[in-house]
Amino acid sequence: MPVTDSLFREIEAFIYHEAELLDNHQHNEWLDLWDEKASYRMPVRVTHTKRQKDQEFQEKFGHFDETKEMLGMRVKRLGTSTAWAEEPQSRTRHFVSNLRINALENEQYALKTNLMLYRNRLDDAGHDLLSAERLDIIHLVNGQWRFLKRTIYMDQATLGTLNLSIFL
Amino acid sequence: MSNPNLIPPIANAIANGELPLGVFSNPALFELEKEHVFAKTWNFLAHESEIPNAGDYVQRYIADDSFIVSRDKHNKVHVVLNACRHRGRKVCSVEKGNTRNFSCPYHGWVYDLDGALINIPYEDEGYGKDAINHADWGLMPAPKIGIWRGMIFANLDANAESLDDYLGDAKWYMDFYTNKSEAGLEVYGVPQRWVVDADWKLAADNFVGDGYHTFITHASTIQAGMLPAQSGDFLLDGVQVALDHFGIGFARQDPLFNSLAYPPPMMEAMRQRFNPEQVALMDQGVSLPTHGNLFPNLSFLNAPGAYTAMAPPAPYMTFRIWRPLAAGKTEIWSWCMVEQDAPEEFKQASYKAYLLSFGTSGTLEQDDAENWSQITLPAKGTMASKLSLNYSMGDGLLEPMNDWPGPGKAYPLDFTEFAQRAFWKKWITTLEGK
Repeated sequence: MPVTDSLFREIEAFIYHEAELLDNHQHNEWLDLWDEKASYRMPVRVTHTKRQKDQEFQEKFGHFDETKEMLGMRVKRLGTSTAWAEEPQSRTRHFVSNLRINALENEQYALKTNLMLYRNRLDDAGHDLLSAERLDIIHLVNGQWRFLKRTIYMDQATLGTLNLSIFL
Repeated sequence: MSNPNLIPPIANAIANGELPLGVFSNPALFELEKEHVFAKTWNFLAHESEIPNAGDYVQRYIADDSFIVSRDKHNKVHVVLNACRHRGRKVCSVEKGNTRNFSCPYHGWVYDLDGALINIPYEDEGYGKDAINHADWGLMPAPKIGIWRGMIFANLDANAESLDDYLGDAKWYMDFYTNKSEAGLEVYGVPQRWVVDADWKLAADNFVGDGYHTFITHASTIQAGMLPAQSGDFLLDGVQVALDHFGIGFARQDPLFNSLAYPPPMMEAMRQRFNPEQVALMDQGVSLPTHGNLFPNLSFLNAPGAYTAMAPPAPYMTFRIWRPLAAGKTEIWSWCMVEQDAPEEFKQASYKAYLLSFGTSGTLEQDDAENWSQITLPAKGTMASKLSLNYSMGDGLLEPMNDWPGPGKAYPLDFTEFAQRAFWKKWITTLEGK
């Protein structure tokens, strides 16, 4: 079911807010956006023939397959002074676009977004560019939007970045 | 050899327990490695569980060479070069699948799952009836293939020793990784693949015998609770074993590491499976083996990982290939391995522990690769490439243990560099063609 213009704008602002927190390395604030029961997944993609394309995404095996507790451990690590992969921190810019919203039952909303993630590190003039489609499910908890579920479908089989010490 | 002056100074340095930094970013050395290391040794390609059914295949690499690893309708595994015999086009462009045969998109030559040439379109008109002997023009098999405990290897050297002979005494230790249960290992999911600006030898050097780095490199993972060690130097008083082509490390002080978090029934099952000498090792007060590397670029890690406060830590097991792409550039292939006959809850827990620690998003992996790239980048420098690195740890300090039940030389600390020195000796003698 489609949503009203005002609700669309509200959810859009929430999505942009999330991207801003990530780009500002406000990981604890970002973690607060996730429901206690949330899942955060990035299935591994495997190049298959068009005929066997339905097997392309590994539904049971991911680059990420996180509970909120696991996300919390990653965030806790990033808060230490010895998370070397992010010391110094990656410079990221999450470009989020093509938002589509579908109202589900139980006052939940399914979002589809396209993500273009620019990543630069150290004094390197180059960058990594990661492209993905994200499917999110959000709902309101005490008047605040919270993510219940995110699935990230990468537009790469062999990842073109040295690690996933960042969130998408 | 392109430059006869390239090898001797490196060999001298290695003989003296040193290493010039430039070996991690030298295109001339890289070409020699492709010819003398990767084309002459046994390379791990796939695990049998990745191609369980007739017609299953995966595409795998040895350095730049692409191979199809397939299972034919008689259940036999084949490894053939992924290049059509007519114009050399890849006949398989995907990573994985199931097929009846491989058909080249260029001119339609068709090959069976075992690589046999089945059909040449317009053969009679273009070549003449029976002019081409199909048996001579199948996809080229890898000169040698070998399978050990479901692990599929190939060797590009037709004169190479058998896989069994190559593995040799390493099998005694690799048993601990691969033979914990009746059914053995399976690949959980698929290998994760990604590319790092780091030399493959740094990764092998780390896994073969670097018990030393964890307390600083991995401090954050321990602090955040994913690596449930009592302290960061959990390998300090462990044991390091050096064979000429294989190195492996054990923990000792940390009780959780003794079982690597395998539950008691699985530990008991292992005791039933392992031979008396292997059981004697388990009774020595050391852990099951953790890190290891088989020359050249197949690494192992078995360790405990925590992923929730609601359940005890779980053991995870990873195989990894450091595929050399160029001097200082490596594609990492990381497999999550688990006992086929383990309960699904165990597999899930093991997978979650693996994800937090290793693979693309694993935090131990992240910090390792950051180190390796920060070594590889400066290694290009004119001055830096000649910098001599200290590889002397433990030399003159430790004697091999005389009560160790396993093969090779075992040293009573894992904060030592015997296995790394053995790796570099094996590397340089292989480059010299010895």
